[in-house]
Amino acid sequence: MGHLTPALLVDLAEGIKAEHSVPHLARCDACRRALAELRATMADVGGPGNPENDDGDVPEPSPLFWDHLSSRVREAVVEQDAHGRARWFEAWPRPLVALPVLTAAAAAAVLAVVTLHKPTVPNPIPATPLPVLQSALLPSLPPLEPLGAPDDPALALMSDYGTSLGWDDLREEMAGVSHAGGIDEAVITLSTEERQELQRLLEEEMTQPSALGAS
Amino acid sequence: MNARWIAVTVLVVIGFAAPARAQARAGAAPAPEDVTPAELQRMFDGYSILQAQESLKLSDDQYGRFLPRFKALLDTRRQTLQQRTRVLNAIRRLLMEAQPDEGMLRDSLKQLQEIDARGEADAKRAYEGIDQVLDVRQQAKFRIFEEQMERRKLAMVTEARARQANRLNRQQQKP
Repeated sequence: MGHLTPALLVDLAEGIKAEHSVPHLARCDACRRALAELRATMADVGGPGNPENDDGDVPEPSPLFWDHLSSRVREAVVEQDAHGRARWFEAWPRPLVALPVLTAAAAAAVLAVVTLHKPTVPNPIPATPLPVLQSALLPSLPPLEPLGAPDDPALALMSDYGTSLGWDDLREEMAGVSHAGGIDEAVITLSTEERQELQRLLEEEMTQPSALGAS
Repeated sequence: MNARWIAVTVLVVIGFAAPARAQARAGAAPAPEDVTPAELQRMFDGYSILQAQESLKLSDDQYGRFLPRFKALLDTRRQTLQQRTRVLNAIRRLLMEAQPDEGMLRDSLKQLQEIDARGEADAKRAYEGIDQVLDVRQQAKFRIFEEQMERRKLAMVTEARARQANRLNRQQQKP
């Protein structure tokens, strides 16, 4: 076991604990010496550890003492507070040194927050696409319509001609549209039903005399 | 033998409408009344061949020689168009990439030039073969005939679309 703690020594000196309850004291000269010195000191100041002063004849302080003590403590606290603040501010490094450090720390904190929160926080979808993002995602050229797309303007034009013009007018108007192989492209655009209709038309045409006539 | 019978015989040989019926008999994928674009193109060829005989006033002897040459011209044009379309589709796919491969684009453009050049040469040879069968007036008529045929075919395609649209409208108007 180690030496007696100061609290235990004080308890022994003040008689709160009996010496026989601490067996270590009988074996340790150092602790006995420490207890004796403590008792001697308490006897010098007239404390309760001195059996000679057990009558408790301690003079009472002046009636103003507690008021003065209270005001002095208050002033001391205020003064220490002011000094403490000044010292805290002075204790910090100069702003020229502190600012870059603070800036770097703030940047690191922001970066950490952004990095940690990015996967978990879904990106808000803006009401209108950002122009920069839009241009970045678009290919360099807009995709062209495949050959024979149903919304091909040339075919729409042909359809309009077919419903609004007669055969002869249609032939004249189609002069600028038709080209060798254009039929193959047009046939690909037809639906199944339209191809069946075209088949019927062709069969009708082939059973009749030449629609072109002798030129 | 009558020229029209020759034409019919040739049309049967080139089989402009046979595949669909054969497939229907064999229970193949397309429906019995379905017709593919390729079959329609063959029907157009047959239609052109029939019309040419009357438009150009070909004799039976001329028609027998004209027929395979005209068919060769039609095949040459179609083959060139198919090759051209294939390369154009490849170019289109390349251009849709973020970083188009310029080497592949250059190759495709070169292919396109070669197809155009070969197509023109083949068509020129086919025309020369046809012209050998026809006299000068018939040669001139043949040029006009070709343009008229293209317009006629386009008009038929448009008519087919219009008829189908009208049929759909009538069906929608029925209660």
